[in-house]
Amino acid sequence: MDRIVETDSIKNNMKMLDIEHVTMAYANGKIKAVDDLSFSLNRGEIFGFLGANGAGKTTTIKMATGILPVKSGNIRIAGYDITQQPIEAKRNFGFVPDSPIIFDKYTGREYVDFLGDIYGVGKQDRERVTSDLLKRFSLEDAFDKRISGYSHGMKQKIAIIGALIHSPDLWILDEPMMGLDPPAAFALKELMKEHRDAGKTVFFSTHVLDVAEKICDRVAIINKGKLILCGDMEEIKKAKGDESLEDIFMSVAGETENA
Amino acid sequence: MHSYFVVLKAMFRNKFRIGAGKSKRSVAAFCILLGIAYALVMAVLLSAIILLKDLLALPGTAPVFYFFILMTVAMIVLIFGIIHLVTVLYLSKDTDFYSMLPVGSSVVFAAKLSYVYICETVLVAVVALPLLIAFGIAIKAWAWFYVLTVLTVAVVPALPLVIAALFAIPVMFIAGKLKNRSVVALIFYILLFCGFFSVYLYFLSAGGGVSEEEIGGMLSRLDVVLNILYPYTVLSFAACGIPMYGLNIGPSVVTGTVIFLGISAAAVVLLMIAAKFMYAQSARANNQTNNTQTKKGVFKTSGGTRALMKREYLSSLRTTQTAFQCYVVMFLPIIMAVIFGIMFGNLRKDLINAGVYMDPRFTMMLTYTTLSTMFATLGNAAATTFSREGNAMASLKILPVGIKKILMSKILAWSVLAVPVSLISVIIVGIFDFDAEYFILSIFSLIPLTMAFVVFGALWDLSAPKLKWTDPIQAVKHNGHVTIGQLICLAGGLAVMTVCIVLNIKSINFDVISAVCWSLIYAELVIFAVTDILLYRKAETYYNRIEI
Repeated sequence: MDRIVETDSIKNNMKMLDIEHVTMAYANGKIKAVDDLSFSLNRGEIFGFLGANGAGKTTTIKMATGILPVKSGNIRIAGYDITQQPIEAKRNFGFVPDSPIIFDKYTGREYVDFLGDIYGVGKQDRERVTSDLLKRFSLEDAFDKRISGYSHGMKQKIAIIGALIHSPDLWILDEPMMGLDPPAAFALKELMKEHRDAGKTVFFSTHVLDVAEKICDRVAIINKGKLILCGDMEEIKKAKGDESLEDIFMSVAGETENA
Repeated sequence: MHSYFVVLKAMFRNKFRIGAGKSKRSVAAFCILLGIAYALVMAVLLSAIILLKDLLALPGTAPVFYFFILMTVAMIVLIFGIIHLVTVLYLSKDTDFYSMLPVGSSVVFAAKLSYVYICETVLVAVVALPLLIAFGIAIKAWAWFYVLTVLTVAVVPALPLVIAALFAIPVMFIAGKLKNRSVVALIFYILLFCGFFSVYLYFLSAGGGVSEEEIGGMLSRLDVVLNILYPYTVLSFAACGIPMYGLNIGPSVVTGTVIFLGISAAAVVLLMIAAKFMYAQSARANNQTNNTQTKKGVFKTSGGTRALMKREYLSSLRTTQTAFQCYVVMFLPIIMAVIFGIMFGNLRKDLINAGVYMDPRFTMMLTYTTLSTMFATLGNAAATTFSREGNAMASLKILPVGIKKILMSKILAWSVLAVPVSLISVIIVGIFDFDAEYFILSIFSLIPLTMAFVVFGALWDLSAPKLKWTDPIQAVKHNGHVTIGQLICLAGGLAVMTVCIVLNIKSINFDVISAVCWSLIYAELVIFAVTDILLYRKAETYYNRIEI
């Protein structure tokens, strides 16, 4: 992964994502989607964000990426406050949403061109980044076709490529494995590891506990908007008597919202 | 048969359901506004019929007037019918959904065709029925007139829909061979509108003639039209009880009615064949996979604003209907400038022939004020620019781009189109009647006013975008930012127009009228500019509070 270069935020050893006492309430404060949530991500790690349906994962990610306003608490990305310095903060991450919303009028290349223009990525860098990723995701043949003809998995793949076009320090993914075929899921996991190995950070939410167990350095589990558990994967497992992540998850957050 | 009704019911419910996040109050307000507008238009038309009742009672006039009403509604059905047929039968997004159901494609096709036919029949009934009944009362028509009129309403859409379907088939062939089906359809609609207005202008351009030769020419043109639209001609004669073919009145009416119904029945059969073909093409187009070979492209760099502008144009072309709402209405000011230029030119020619002098600035001012009311349509696309984003607003919000740059790109995207349209309209007015002072004043007021509308639309939409929709057209149709914006625009233009007319009736010196009217137009510009500045200051707040 020679395309990943060391940037200032990595050199400066700052928190790549810092969430401090963040609360998001609906219905005049009666329902708390996120409740006084605090945790932070270091550079060079893969961080798994786990929780049942409706636990508040996507809401947290939406606030971290600037899609939803942060009404209470602070979120900083690479030292930049997402509310106070949104442009600087957004320059430092790439985001893959759970259901990619990409204009289907674009071709894959036009979509990458659009993001390249926004992030100020040069032509050669676009070529370099995409040629590697297109190969990994077997998307070369579809790259110049309209996104409207893509399957869900292909849209997910092009969203991943788009998120990495500016080689961000922080890579945020919301349920990234959904819709991906096994080779693509494997390629994604490898890519996440390479991103980490290059000293950058990966933050992703998932339901697939096996994946989290295999690739995450640290995990956070939330339930009903509250942080239940956060820490080093190995330490957590030791503390819980070497149980599997699934057993740990079930013991601390096993209740679903309907239960 | 049960499946047919289930599908038909689903189509109507889907079409007329109240959109998510829309309050009953806003729907009621919209319906009331629509009702008032309809009542006003009908009141004017019905008053005209009552005023003209003596003229209409003259021998030979009644069938021509009846034919004129039928032809008008047929033209309406033809224009909107093409759009409706193509959208429902060919460009519809629900084809996949219906093909999954355990319902035969012929049933879905029949339901879709019925849906279009019923909608067009309702349109005909709403437009024509009150006028025809009022006309019948005015000419003291016999009972058979009313029976035939009700029958007519149900059958009239058949002929224009057949023509619409026949027009649409070559369009589909072209669209099927190209990547962007909605752009092809949009171009087709624009050509159709241009064609329609060309025909209209052709008749209008002869309207100012008063010489016998010109009247003769007009009548011969009318004869041609009467012969081309023969089914409507015989129906008009039958409804008005005019004997034809040398027969007595009874057999003549029966013959005329049978001819009309027979041709209409044949038209329905033709329509079914053409529509079935359209639906089959649609299913085939939807089943086509994206496996065709494509040429390898190259990366192209551009600035951020340009990239956002390109995204804006692409998003407006997401469906034919959104494209239609964004682009086709932009032609209205140009069309109005041409129509008013010809109409007022003819009027002044007639007045001069009658020895009456009318200051050309009066008609110019009326045209300018009308244009200022029309310029709201130039802001239509901007007024829905954020609503059209829908869920894609999330993809916009994660970009490292501030709202002011996003706004700038959207405003620029629509100004690039709106300002030239506005300029062309003003130049057209100048071509018909040139007055240096008026020309300069109009350039420096109406063009900034266009810009102000575009900015106002975008900012107002940003303040409360309607993002919860399943089909992009829901973000455009019945959008208060469009309708209320247009009403404000209309009110401003009409106010200046009223002042101009009232002062002119009171024989005030036209220099004074000019000064008053231009002051009012500039005041309107200042009001919009100040409003825009105030809204712009809150742009960040509006953007940040949007939750997706």
